[in-house]
Amino acid sequence: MEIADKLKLLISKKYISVVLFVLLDIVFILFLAYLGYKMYGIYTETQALNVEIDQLKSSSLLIKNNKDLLEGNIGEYNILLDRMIPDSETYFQVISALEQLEDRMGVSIESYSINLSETTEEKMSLTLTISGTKESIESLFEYYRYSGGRLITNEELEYSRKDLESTIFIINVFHAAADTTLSSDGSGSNIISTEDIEFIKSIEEKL
Amino acid sequence: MKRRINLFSQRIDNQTAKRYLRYGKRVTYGVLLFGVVTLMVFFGTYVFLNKNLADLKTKKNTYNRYILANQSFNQEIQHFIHKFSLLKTYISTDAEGYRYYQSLLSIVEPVGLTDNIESFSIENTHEVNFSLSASTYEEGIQTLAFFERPEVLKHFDSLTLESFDISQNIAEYSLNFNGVMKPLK
Repeated sequence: MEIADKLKLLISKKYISVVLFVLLDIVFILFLAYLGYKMYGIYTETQALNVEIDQLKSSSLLIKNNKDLLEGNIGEYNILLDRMIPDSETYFQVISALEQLEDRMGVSIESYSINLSETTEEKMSLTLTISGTKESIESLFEYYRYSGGRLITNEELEYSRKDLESTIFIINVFHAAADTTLSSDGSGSNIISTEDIEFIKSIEEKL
Repeated sequence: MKRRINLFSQRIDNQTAKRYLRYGKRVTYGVLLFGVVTLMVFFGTYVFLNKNLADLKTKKNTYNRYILANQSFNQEIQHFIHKFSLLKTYISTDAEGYRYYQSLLSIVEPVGLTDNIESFSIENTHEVNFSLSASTYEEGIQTLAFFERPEVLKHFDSLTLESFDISQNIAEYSLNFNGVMKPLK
């Protein structure tokens, strides 16, 4: 009998309206939460898209800014750059560069050794023991950078005029794989100037 | 036995229920009002974000079409930029030692000391060491005096005489300098 009374009370107008309102509130809040979640999804998508667009814009600008100057010869310049900094390194490439250096500079490379402490993933550091005349050794010191048919650098020059038969010359040769993260590397602000092209052309004559 | 009904306690329950009902209604209306306002704000933001997203997608497609139309050049230029920037970086580590050696020769040439340079070393930081020979003590002093001249010192950021030695077997003096040369243009 009591249960029946309670049920009657529950379905009386007052309670029904409150219950309906509460249910409506819950549904409403859930809907708002869903809408908020959807908006957050759109926001994160927008953020990701903005990053992507920045990269694409950078690539587009890079093309636009350099197309006129480079379009005709860029393949040729890339071949030249790959000669100076090859994608990979082999023992024979290094030997070939040293032989070319000997032939062109007129010095004799008596021995060479790898400086392991100075060698990195992209740089191979070699200590050369060379002999030759004063002129040939000075010629090597002047023209070593491109005379091996590739880029060679020297971070510290040591020259003793008294000891021309065993001059120590430390060189670096480099290699670097083609960049796989293309779009992130080529910033749109990179504009190749005619001076850069002249610089590359001048290297070509020396290789 | 006659059962008695406690009317007073029933009235209290009724009043409490009514109070809760009133409170519940107020909360419900409040939530509803807040919900409507929030919904309007959310809806406005949602429309704005959606439009923004659509604009960005259009922009992305435009860039993609341009890059696709220049795909071959794009790959070439990316490669070029990568290797060219490496080239410049590697060259910047080069000591260019011979240029500085020539510079030193041109500094000492006016006083005929070019043949007196015995050794020379320089790092890519322009830190330099060189030694000059002198056949007599007086010549050594003159060499030292030469390197104290302002027109000579202007080529160096710093220069010090590290040692002034005499050879044991032959009467020859050796002046060893170290310092930092100014960068050449």
